[in-house]
Amino acid sequence: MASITFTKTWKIYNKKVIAVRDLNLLVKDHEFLALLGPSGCGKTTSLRMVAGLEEITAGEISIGDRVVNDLKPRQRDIAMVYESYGLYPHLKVYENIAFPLRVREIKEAEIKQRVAHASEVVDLQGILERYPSELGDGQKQRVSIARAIVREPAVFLFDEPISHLDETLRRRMRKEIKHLQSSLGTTMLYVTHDQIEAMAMADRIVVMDLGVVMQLGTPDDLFDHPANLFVAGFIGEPPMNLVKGQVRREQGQLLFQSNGLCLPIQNPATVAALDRANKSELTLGVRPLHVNPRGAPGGTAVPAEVYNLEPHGDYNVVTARVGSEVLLAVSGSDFFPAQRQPIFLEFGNHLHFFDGQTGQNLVNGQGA
Amino acid sequence: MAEIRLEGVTKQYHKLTAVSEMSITARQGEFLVLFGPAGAGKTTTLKLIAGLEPLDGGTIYFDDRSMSEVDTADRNVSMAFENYALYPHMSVFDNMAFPLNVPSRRGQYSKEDIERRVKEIAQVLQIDMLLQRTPRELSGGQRQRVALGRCLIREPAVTLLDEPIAHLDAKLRHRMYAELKRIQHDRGTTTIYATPAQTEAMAMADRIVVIFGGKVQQVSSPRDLYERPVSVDVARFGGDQTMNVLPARLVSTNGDMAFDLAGHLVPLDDCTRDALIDSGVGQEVLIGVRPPDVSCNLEKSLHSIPASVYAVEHSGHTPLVTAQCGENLVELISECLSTAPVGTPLWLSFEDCRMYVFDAATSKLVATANMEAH
Repeated sequence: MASITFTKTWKIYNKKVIAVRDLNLLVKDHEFLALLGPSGCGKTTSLRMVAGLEEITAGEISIGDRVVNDLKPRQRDIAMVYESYGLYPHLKVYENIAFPLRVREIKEAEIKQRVAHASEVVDLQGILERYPSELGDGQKQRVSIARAIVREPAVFLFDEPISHLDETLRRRMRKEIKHLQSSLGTTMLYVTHDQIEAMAMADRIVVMDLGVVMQLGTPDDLFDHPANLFVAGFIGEPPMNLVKGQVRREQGQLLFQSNGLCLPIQNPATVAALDRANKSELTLGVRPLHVNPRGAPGGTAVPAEVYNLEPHGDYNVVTARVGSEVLLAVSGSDFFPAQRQPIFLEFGNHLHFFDGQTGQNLVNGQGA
Repeated sequence: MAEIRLEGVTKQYHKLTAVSEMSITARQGEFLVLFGPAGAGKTTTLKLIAGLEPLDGGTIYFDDRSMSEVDTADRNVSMAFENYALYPHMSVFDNMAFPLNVPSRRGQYSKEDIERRVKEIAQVLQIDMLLQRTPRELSGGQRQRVALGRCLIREPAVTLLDEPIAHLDAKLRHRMYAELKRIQHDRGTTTIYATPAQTEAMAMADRIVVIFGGKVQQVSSPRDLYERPVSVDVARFGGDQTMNVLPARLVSTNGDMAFDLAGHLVPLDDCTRDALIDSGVGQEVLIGVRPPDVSCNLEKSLHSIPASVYAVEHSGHTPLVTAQCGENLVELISECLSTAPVGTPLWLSFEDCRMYVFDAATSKLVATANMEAH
């Protein structure tokens, strides 16, 4: 087990396409770290540079205290799991799992013991004599994970291992991978485009876009204190409401004003930060969880109209119209307004404000 | 606007039965969602309604008129399927306007009318800035919206939609639920919509038809599907958090009934007990409990069951904890376990929570604590 260190790491294709730009990152020993972002953000390229499948254009990558830039993939003490499994179709499950050990010419007795252990960990005991073609998708991915486990590597590198599975299976594999990593304690670098997956499993998440780190933090950090508009919009389901507008003062009170939405800003720290920033154009961000819809007016609640209601069982997501803005709000499962019914939205204290030009969070996400 | 009725509809491909004896009705002006996993027969059902495939048995009626001898073109349906099928050489505008320009409708729509309709729908679907592009220049999500726009451009007897927004990102998806529902509501067009995503089904449906293996499992409102799933399979399919289902035995202790959960007794509330007595269910049952209803403690209490932390998942503010409880995994919501390491011992309690009881032999729902038995 070991840490992974990226130091000023660059990947440039054909001397012009920058896939990864100046990546500096420490994946701690025993940590589960997710690289999260849309396609083309550089997450897979970063992982493949650790694996030795892509050359490092500039900078350094270390595993433990060993710089691995010039090491061959098999010298790096890593184990990879891919979306496409990479199983040998002509070998039975047992032999697929044993394969990396046979290559290293490990003794038969030890192979047997390590395969038995790995297949127990991922619950494959009953099917060791089958061929990959006889397995379901979840089982195939478990075989490929077992093959990673037998190597007892310093680090796991998982590349979208469950993205293609159906919802039910994905949910189950999330738990299994999380359980596996926490019980083995092996350092995990996990690439995904699915924020739900990253949030569910990772100790820390690196959000990337266009080859650049947008934010590094724990799931709670990213959810509560998004550093910029990109992270704010990417993390969370239902997604954060983002409303363009301006701030202005009226009789000493700071107001956020958009096409239809007018909100007083109460929190002194937010007021101070917005005064300091002195930006005219900005974007308000507020999570649906922090917009409380109700049937009766009162206090500072904003009048709105129901546009759609999504029941989720334990809670409802209300799509509401405020002027020309369309906002999402979360209510209890007992709130069942009709289509077009007038309702009132109470905005909590968790308001974010982002710079209209740069997208940076102006209040450091400390809430309004 | 029509009522669409399927009576005993069957479709086979070679030896495989894709749709089996299906009898369902989409009421006039209803938003009906066909909900089931891949391969359940949802798409086949839509194709049969559209007349794109012949039936092997049964009859489809549009307002009491049998469609057996009616061609697709004469059924007055509009469709959007998951794989776009846009004309690559035509602009987005022309693709969307296509159904209004076909020979059979020539002269029905003026140039101004066509332009107005295309612009209106394009704006709703947020593709109005793309009207002059060709499909090649669009992303998957944009293409999908063009196909959807083409489908919504006129008001047919019935609209058939097959996973029409599967490729959109989360932000747009919630908006599209609202827009689709609104358009359908305003026009009153009978709509049949197929999806494997429960969120989508719940967000738009007046009623949901759950289909597994070509067979209808349940037809109900979104709320009822959640409150009264007819079987274990329906209860556990889709959803943000699935129901925990644990095998148990019905036993009597000191004259009272209780569940024996792997050697641990869980007492029954009066409601559940009465419902179970009425149902005549055998000893072997499956108990269903949703994650928010499971309570957990770090200390043992009366009727609690030992377990240990298997995995902890985060999603914003509610950590989803999976606990290993004997042979079973149980999901629950617990703020205080959000940083608990694997193996942390804990005690689960199923007392006083909303419980569903299924017959172990048939997997059918026999009782819930807050509903009368079925």
